[in-house]
Amino acid sequence: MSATQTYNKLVPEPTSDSAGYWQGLNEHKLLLQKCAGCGTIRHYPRPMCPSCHSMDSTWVEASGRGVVHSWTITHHAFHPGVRDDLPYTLATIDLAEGVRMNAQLRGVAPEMLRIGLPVRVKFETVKEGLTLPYLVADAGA
Amino acid sequence: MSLRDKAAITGIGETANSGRSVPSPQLGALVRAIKGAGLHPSDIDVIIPYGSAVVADDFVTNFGIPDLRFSATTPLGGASCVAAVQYAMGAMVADAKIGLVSGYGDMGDGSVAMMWRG
Ligand SMILES: [Zn+2]
Repeated sequence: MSATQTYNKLVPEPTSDSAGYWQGLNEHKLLLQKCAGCGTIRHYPRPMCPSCHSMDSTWVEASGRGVVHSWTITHHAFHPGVRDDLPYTLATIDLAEGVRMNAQLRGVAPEMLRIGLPVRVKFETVKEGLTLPYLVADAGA
Repeated sequence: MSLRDKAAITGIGETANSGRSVPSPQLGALVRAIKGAGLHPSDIDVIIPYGSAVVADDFVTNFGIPDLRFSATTPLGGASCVAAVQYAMGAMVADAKIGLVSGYGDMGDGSVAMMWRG
């Protein structure tokens, strides 16, 4: 979809915890929170480190590479905004940094899907000020 | 069955309302309450969150709780936190170990948390 069309999907509401993540996507960077207390990386953005309970964190740029942990294929439009995408594959992946994320996986036929499939993150600006990540198979892995 | 003398408040915490995201002051206050009681956040097995804007999952993910046994909300507006005390005591009687009750003062001065040990 080009950025000039009307975007009719649900949009995020960045909070003080997640604003850095969304801003990073706008710069085509996948940023992860890193605990300033113990160095543990966590995702999705949240106020506190689940390991040491420090509330101080920094942002680190992820490699954008990972492997499929699981997936679902959606055939029903649970929201009108996704009707034109059907069917789409939503994947949960294990990033190389040791955390999981969800995103649409594109360009991989259902019969090619498998746990452990190498993928990488790409970026798509869907409307002004909003860039979202999606996944493709990582042919180089 | 009376709940009298079945559980006790063992920690209280408070933070300033820093203007950060809604869970932040609650998490900060709860960690103070937990540490004040000589415990670790992942020890918690019952969560009774304030009935709006946060869910038990917020505390599970931020505290790294591996095995939550019970959670509930007590939708009574500003009195939710008072009703939550009774819920937490009930859970203690039902064999839970450490309950967590969160409150949230949005009048400009932050968040109070209390905790029980059966
Ligand atoms: Zn940490």
